[in-house]
Amino acid sequence: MKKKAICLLLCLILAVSSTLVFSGCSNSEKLQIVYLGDSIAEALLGPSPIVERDRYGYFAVLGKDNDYYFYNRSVSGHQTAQLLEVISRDDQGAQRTATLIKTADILHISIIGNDLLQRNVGEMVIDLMNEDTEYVDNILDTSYSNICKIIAKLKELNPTATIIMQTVYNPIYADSTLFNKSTREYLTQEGIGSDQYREIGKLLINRMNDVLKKYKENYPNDIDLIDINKAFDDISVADATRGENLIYSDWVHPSNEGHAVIADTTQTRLEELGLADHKKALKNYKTLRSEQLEDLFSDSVDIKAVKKQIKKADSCSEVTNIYFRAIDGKTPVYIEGENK
Amino acid sequence: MKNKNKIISLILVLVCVLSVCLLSSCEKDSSKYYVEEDSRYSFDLLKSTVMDVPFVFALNSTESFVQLNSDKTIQISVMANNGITAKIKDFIDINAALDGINIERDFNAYAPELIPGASLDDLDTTAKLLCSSLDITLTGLGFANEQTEELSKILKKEIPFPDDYKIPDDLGFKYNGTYYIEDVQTDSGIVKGVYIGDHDSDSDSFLIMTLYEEKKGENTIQKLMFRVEFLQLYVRMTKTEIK
Repeated sequence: MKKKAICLLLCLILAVSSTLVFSGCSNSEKLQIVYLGDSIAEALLGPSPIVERDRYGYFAVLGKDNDYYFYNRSVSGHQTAQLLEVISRDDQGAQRTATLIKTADILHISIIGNDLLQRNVGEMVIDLMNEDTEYVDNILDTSYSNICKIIAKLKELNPTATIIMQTVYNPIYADSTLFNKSTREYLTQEGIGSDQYREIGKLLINRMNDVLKKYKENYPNDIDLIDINKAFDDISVADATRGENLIYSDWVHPSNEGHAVIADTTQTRLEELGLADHKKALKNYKTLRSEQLEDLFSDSVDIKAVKKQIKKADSCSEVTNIYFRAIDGKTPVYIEGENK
Repeated sequence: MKNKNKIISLILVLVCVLSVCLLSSCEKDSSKYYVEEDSRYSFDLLKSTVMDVPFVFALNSTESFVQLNSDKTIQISVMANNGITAKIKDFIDINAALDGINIERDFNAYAPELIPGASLDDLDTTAKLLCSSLDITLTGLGFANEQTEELSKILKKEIPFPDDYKIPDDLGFKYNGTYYIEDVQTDSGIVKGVYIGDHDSDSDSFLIMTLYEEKKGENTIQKLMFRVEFLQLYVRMTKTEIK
């Protein structure tokens, strides 16, 4: 009887230890996300300081929060035509973009912004104000055609991956450098003050986003479209200063907080799609921001109090709000003893 | 009693062995490896380009290299060609080239964000922050007070770029960091990736190089290449002797 009990006990130990060891290293459930597109996704400009790119860039925040394998193959400056070229290439050595696309569970794309924003934004906005849409629409027709080809190519490479695209946020505020001197002079003559720049900027941004929306309407099952423009705009309407703080100092890229808002908005959708777990992601996100507080702001922020607030938060966006309000105006200490 | 002990011991050993086997099979670093002996790769200057322009005139061919070491460290050395001043003067009128660029505005839009604390008024600190951020050392740039004040004024366009400027012969930068090699599956088979610097264990490096071999007659030449897409930078290197 004793022997049987001991054997049973040892078998139990064996089973439990094996399960623990297996669960400790099991990778079978980990999803792989691959980021494609432009500088918004590449996040070389945006994260501040640059050494925090892997904790501020939304590609990394989503990767870490959800415990995904995450690979960023986006390229600063790229337009739709160049993204099409990148995904049409065979693997280039160990960079293996084609292989990563083929093996991804989620393909996340930020594109189309540069198709217009690398040109004279002010002139295009003035054209649209004057109901002259030819120049902009010619560009966007090509963009639409490229997007059709991009999605077709991605679906050919990986028919089962969830393809997520995002709308482009409106980066135009009163001090935006996207409106040059001659644009500002023209607008002043027309009686349009700098406080109205954001509104007229929407003429261009919305027209650009309409291309993505048109694709989604025409091919509803091909992509999931996340409305980052709306997320930024909602914040801007509620709190103009916070809205402006979502934009980096070059008036183009998302700031640290802008990246966080993109991550939070995407996170919500990933959870709705069943590709992410709310509880796990929230826990990981709280850890991420708490670690950053300790690493970067231990001299300037009441870490204990802020971490307590973060611990109580119910959503990633709440954590974002607490973290960025706490560090507002504080300089991070990112190199010991050198930038205090 | 002895039998019972034997059974217990046997099962405990089994548990330990199984655990070790399973743990080692999921060890993340198991596929990473390093060069067995220090290996230097020199730039193929004609085949390396930035924005389609070959490096040949810009870099010193013997002092520019990537060295992979057996102690898991990597050195990247990029040094300007000794005669670069004359070549630049032949091709570019610096003051004309700078004419349409608002350096101060662009510097202020990017530098203090990328490296908080950076300022055109304090280039010494800015250089130190840059070096610490990127794990690099700059060579050939002395930051003595008079020089930095003059450079600061030039960048702010308070004074023109001097006609008698001379780029220091040892101008360049060196990166010292860590690397690992991992065999990865691509659509053309397994390739050797060289991953530079720290990164999240569920992701990969910003800078990834590829080790490969080329046949030249009966010889096999060791090659290293990498590309940085946003800079349109394509670098090809060949293994050379360490001097």
